[in-house]
Parts: sequence; structure tokens; C-alpha cells
Amino acid sequence: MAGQSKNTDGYSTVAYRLLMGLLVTLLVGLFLFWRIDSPRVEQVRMNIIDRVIPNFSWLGLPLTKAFDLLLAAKSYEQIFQQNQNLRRELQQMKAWKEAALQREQENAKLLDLNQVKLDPRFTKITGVVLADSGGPFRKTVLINIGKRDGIIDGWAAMDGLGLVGRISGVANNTSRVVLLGDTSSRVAVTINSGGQRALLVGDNTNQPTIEFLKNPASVRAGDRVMTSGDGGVFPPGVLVGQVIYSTSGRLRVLLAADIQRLEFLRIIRHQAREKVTSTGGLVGLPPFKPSATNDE
Amino acid sequence: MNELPNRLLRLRCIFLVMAIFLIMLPTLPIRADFNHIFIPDLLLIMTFTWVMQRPDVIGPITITIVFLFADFILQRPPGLWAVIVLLAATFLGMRSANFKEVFFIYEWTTVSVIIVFCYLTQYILMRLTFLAIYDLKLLTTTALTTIFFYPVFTWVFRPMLKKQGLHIKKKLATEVSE
Repeated sequence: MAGQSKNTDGYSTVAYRLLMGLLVTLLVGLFLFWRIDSPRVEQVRMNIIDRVIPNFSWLGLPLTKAFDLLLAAKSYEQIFQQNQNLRRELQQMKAWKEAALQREQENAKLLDLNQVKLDPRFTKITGVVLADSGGPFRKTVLINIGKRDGIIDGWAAMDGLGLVGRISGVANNTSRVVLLGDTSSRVAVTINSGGQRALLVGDNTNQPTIEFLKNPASVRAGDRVMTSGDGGVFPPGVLVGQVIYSTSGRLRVLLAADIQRLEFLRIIRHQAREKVTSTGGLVGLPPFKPSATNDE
Repeated sequence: MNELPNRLLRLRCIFLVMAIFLIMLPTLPIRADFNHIFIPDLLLIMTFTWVMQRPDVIGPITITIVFLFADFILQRPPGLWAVIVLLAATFLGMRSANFKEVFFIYEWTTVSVIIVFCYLTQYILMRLTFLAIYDLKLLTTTALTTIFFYPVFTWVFRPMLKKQGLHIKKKLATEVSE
């Protein structure tokens, strides 16, 4: 019992109180500083992550392998059904392939006719996913390319098929990708390529919601969702996914990207479009020049 | 007498290593969807368990370092969760001696109230500073699972923390009396 009374004495010493006060002010100060000047502290955060995360990749290896095994075992359970489904899909795919081949030839002809050049600035950098965001409240991943590879904040990230998210936070060798499902993710999209504009709003699920839609009645499940390029952050015309109705009747997007198994990400190098600044002057030649006579 | 600081240091090191492990655990790219599984905040339970068992092992500096690191790594607002946990842990540590001789259920209730209070404070502060608020349902389930896992952690860590600690205390007491 002597030890206990000593403990309580220890808590009431002046030095202890000073220390507590110092620590609390420090933490609260840091939080407020972060709230006021977020980019600077986020840069510090990215630098810490840049140092720490690559050094701990060995920790994940056994766990990742174990989970992969588990998932593989799970998929064995449904292998018969999957096989059936695959066969059916293959049958459909054959038809599609035929159609695609025809289209390709047609397309080649048309391109040749038009002498179209695809935009050479539309290039990609590929990165490997290093780590998840940690915690159930955020949906972000870290990738192993950063400032050194020329990554810039705001660039779009895709997996092979569709949009995954956008770069938010760049360190020297790593950068963070905020996925579309994150609560802070907002992406301007069009539904049915230019038909309707809307905003894709993340809500901490893997299927972000569609909001600010002018005419929800005209959108049907299965419609394709692409980025619209509004706001100039994302390149237009990147596939996002398909419209689905959730059980609560809300419009959501089933992402084309396989968001649960991200391994490689493609970052699209995107220069912002040039802005049109002039308001449009008078068209045509002025009928006469009165200024010359006025000057004299 | 010289055994005590040595052991304290060792326990502190063990705490730090486990804390780092628990912080890094959720960042691993396991590529599975954990949205449906409610994961307790293991680091929080471990800290509270240790504080209740041995308030002298993890002082305010250790808690600050660990939770600030966690805030930075786990994409949380830096400092917010750390300061909440620091105050809560200090509160619990000051009262830990009172729970040595009563039923565990009292300790559990106190810790549960504190855990709920922590999450509530965080929620309110994030509201007040206009931050993106966490999903309330998810927050509730996290708090509840955290509370339910507290006895498990106590059961695991009590032998490691308590017995030898008492032993040393007895030793100290005899030394002092001599």
C-alpha cells in the first residue's frame, strides 16, 4: 500500500503537472495549427509516412499471404458456380468480341480518314500499393511513387479499368491516393457520356453516391458513369463505373475498378486545360476608324 | 532497488513495440473489406489496460509519443485523439489504485464510461472544428467492441504486469522497513 500512496503523491507533484500542461498545450496547439494551416502539417505527415511505411513492409508479408490464402480458399467454395457463370459470360464475350473486331476495323478506317492524333500528354505512371489508410474511417492507400517520379497533387489514379481516386499528399518516394469512397472525395461525373452531370460523393463505402443530379428519373441502373472533367482536376472521359440503386433507393456507382484488391495503380499525368480568359471581342473589322480623326 | 527502473524500462519497451505493431497493423495492404467487421481500437484498450494495471509504466510522454505517431500514420487529425487519450489515461491512472481491491466490474464500468466519453469528445470537437465527421454508426460499433474487448486485454496483460510488480513492491517495502 506504500507504493500506491507514493503513486498518488507522484501525480500531484508540480513537475508532473507542468509536464501534463506542456503536453496538452503542445497537442492542442498542433491540432489547431493543423486545422488552420493544413498543407504544411500534411507535408510533415507525408514525410513521416515516407520514412516509416516502407520500413515496415516486411511486417505485412506473412499476413498478406495468409489473407490471400483465405480469400483463395473462399473462392474455391464457389468454384462450380463461378465456372458456370464464366462459361455463360464467355459465350456472351464471343459475341462481343466479334462486334469489337468489326468496330476496330471501322475505327481504324475512320481514324485514317481523319488523321487523328491521340493526345500525347495523356500518359501514365504505374505505382504499387504500399499500405492501406489504417482504420475504418478513411479510404486511402499509399503508393510507392512520389515527387521523385513527378507526381503532382490532384492527378487521377486508375487501376486497369476505371477510376480509383485522386492523389492527395505527395512525399519524395510515396504518395497518398484518396479513394472515391472516402468521405472527403468529390468527383464531377457525367452519366451516359454527357447526358447528365452530377457529383460523385464518397460516404465511406465502396460504392459512392451520386448527388446533385438534375433529373434522377432519367437515370437507370446500368448507365455508364464517366468523369466529366468539370473543374479541370480530372481528365474528362475516364470510366468510373455503372449506376446502381442501393436498397434504400439511392443512386450509387458500382466502380469499374476492383477497389478491394488494389495492387497496381496508374496515375494519369494530366495538365490542366488552358483557360479561356478573354470574354470574346467584337467579330469582324470595325466599319470605320473614328479614333484617327479624333486625335487630330 | 536497481531492479525497478530496469524492469520499468523493459515494460516500457514492450509497450512501445506492441504499440507500433498495433499501429502498423491496420495499414497493411490486406486487400479485404473490413467494413462489415467491427474492429476494436486495440491500441486504446491496451493503453487503458496498462494504465489501470501499472500507471507508473506508461507516463504521459510515452502516451503522447505513441498516439501522436498513430495520429500521423492513421490519417487522423494530428493531436486531437492524442490529447483526448492522454487526459483520459491520466484520469484513469490517478484512480487506478482505487480499483485494486474491488470487483472487476467496477473497473470495467469506469473504463467503459471513459471510452464512450473519449469518442464523444472527439466527435463533438470534430463537429466544432468543421471537420469531416466519421460515420456515427461505425463510431458506435467501434466504441462498443472496444469496451467489450477490455476484459480480454486485462486478462492477457494482468499476469505480466501485476504479479512481478507486486513482488517488487513487496521487496521495496521490506527494504524500506529495514
